[in-house]
Amino acid sequence: MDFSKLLQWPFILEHPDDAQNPITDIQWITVRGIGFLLVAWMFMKFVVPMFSGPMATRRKAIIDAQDQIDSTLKETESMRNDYRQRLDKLEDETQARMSEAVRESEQLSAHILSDAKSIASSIVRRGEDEVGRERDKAMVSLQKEFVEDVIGAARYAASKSLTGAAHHSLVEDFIQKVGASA
Amino acid sequence: MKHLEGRKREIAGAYKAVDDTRTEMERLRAEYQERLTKIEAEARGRIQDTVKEAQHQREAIIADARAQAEEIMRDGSSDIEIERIETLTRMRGTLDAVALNALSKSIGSDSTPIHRELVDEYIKTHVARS
Repeated sequence: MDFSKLLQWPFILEHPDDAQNPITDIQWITVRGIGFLLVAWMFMKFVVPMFSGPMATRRKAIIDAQDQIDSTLKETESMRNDYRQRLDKLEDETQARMSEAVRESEQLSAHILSDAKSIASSIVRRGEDEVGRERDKAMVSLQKEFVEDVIGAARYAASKSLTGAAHHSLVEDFIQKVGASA
Repeated sequence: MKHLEGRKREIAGAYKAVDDTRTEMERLRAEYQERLTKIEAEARGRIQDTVKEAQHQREAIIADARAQAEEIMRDGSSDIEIERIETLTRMRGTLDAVALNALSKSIGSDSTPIHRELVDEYIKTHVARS
């Protein structure tokens, strides 16, 4: 078998069989097959990677973008549904807030009134205390006045009625008492 | 090409769905916030009204207490004056007896009618005038 012609130019497509260089079909197909496999291998090895990398990146980017859109949509829908629910329940929330406001205002009111009553009772008590102090002062003044009157009257009567002998007798009694106590 | 067009439409639809949902969500949120603000304002208004009313009541209670205290002091002064006069009268009724008793103790002998006259004279001239 002579493959020299094929080896000289392996990409010749026509059947190179002639009288001088007889080539069988099997030979021709075998060589062509090997050539094809070689070209295919080179294509897969060098050409395909040139496109497959960017394609994969692009595919991933598209998938990520789709995921992000889905995620955003889901999140937004969730928020929208949440606000819908809140709006649906707003009547209840209004009632609750109003009840709370009423309770709060009642507490404040009670506190203010309790404070006012405390101040009021303090004012009244101060008035009563003041009256009590005035009464005590008046009574002390009266007692003092009474004692002064008693002493004044006794002194007046004694000074007018005592004789010289009586004076003498009283002075002696006083001296004796002082001496006894000393 | 057809597949790409379909894909393009699908992506545009997804974006539109997101935008529509977001727009609706924003609208609902704004409505919710507005209504909440109104509710809060109404609640605050109620509280302020109640507090204002309580403050008026407080002022009225304190004013009543002041009036009551003034009345107590006025009545008290009047009562004290009456009590003072009664006590003074009672004391003066016993003044001569107490003075005579003090006198007898100081001079060391029983009091005499002369002493009584002198005490009465003192009371008439000095005590009764005051």
